[in-house]
Amino acid sequence: MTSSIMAPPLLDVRDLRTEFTRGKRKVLAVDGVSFSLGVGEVLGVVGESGSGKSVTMLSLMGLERPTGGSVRFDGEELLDLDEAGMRRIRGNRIGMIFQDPMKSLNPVLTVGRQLMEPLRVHRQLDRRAARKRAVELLAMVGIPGAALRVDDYPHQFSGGMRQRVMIAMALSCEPAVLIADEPTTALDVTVQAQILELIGSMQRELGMAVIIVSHDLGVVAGMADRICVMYGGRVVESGRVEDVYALPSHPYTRGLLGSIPRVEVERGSRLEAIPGSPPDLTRLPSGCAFRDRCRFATGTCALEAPPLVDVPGGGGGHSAACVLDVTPEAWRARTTTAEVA
Amino acid sequence: MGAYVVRRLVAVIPIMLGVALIAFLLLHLAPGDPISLLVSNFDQGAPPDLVNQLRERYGLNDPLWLQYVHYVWDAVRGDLGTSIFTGRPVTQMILDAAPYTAALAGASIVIAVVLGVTLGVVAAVRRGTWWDNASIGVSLFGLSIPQFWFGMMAVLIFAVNLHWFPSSGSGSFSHLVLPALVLGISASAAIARLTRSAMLEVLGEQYIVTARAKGLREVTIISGHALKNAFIPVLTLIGLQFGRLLGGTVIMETIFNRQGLGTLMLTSITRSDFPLLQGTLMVVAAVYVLLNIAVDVSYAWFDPRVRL
Repeated sequence: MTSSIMAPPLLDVRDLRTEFTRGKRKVLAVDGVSFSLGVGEVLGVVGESGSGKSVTMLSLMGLERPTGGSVRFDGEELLDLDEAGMRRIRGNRIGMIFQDPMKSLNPVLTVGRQLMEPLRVHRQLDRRAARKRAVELLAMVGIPGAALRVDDYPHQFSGGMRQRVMIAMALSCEPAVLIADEPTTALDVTVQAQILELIGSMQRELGMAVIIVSHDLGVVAGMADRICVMYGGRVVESGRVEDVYALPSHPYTRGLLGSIPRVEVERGSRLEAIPGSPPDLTRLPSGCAFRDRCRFATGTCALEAPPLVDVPGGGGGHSAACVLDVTPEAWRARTTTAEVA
Repeated sequence: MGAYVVRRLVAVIPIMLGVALIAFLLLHLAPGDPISLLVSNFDQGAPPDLVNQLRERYGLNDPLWLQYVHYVWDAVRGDLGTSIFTGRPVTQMILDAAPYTAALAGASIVIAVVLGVTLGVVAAVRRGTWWDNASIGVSLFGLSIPQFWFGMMAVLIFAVNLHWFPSSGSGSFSHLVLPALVLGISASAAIARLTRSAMLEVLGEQYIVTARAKGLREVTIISGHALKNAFIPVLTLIGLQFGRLLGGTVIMETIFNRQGLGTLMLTSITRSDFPLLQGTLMVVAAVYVLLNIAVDVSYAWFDPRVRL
């Protein structure tokens, strides 16, 4: 963590923009997103569905075409690469796993065949060597009887086991970065913990950097060094996990934290929920995208989207994008008056 | 898998009994008696003795159910009776004609699948472009134009005017080209359309994103990952197209004056040659049923989730 402050980051995303055309409308799914990731660092990206977090990840992989910005990876500008150049990165230097393991594996190909593909493409292994490695990978991610199961089809595996296969596939070429896009959302609660633990242990073992995308702050909190909170295609708050948790500075982050049920709260206190529904990217309000759900919104919020600025009194690198005074004192004053009212 | 095939093959028996019964009854309900046709060259009408003798010889005086039982029993032993018109064994006549029809149907289905799947994949991958419009245009053409007209136009253009291929006959490979192309192109239309929509659906699946995220080439993704999935529904259609194709061979054999089961069937109808007509009907029905079993069995090969 400390070493990554001085050294150039492994992955540096600046002002990334991705625009879709839906009919005649233009939709800005990713609107100037910036973050960086150091070697071996774990970054959590948090937000509701429709916040643009998945599209951001697909964009930096070149699986969606970004319309602007910069993605520097290991000294190379990814947005300048052609298809062949991007193929050299995908699955090789940057691995990716997805939300629904039931849909992420090809149902008509054996898991072995699917595991062998990146090895054959990126490592030029022959069939025998790739197969041997595929069995090792399956064993590494904790699939019992890997040597026998390598010829099975995805439907013969449970959801958790399939996500293990996906992880094995993403890690097969020992990437420098693993992007895990909602890796546990579609899984049973008991399996969720196992998968997170597996990702964590693989991260430590291989020393790779991880971007873990989730709508669940709990998932991210346990693993990440730093977090980015996204809303409406923009980063609204980012910083070290402990800083953001200790001092949530954007009203949206406070809402997210407030909506987690806790065991230790007083009896009779209400679980806070963020009013309204997750943002619809085709109909975002002007200015700050969160203002129509924000209790503290004022007229100035409609004027322009506030930039990310350092939180006064926050730890190094803790920033938030809000026009309000986001110091702890100001928040204390605001919440007490809100409760009185 | 083996048990499944045996079970399906056993189920063919009642189907064929039914086919035999329907063919049998239809022909006995139809007007026109083969014997009276056979003796029609007598000027003052045939002597009743002779007619009766002939009816006896062909078993036409037996009760209907007994004729049916005899027919089925003989058919089981490979004897489909004797042609009234030629006096030759029906089985032999069918065996002589079948290779021509098999060659035509086989060549047509290969053309239909190769052309249809290629057009469909190209249209899906290049969706919304000139390629897509062109291949959908071609398939619309194939769907809309009646086979007989298409066949006649092919004769007119490529045989009569350009002399590229012979216009009639069934002796050589060059005789096969035009009718096979006409049938194949016309059957490829539906296959192309279904392949396109199946490919579009599959290309939107999450596992295609996974394949891209692995750094695979687009060609590998389309041929190795997408097509095998998209082919599953197409397979069903190919089975159904066999039926249309078998009907189409009758038309092509007529237009191109080819030998084959279709010609055999048509002449047997015009000559009221009951045994020959029944025999060809039985064989065509059996082929259709068996081909569809083959299609069903091949699902297991394309889709590992299907366990037979």
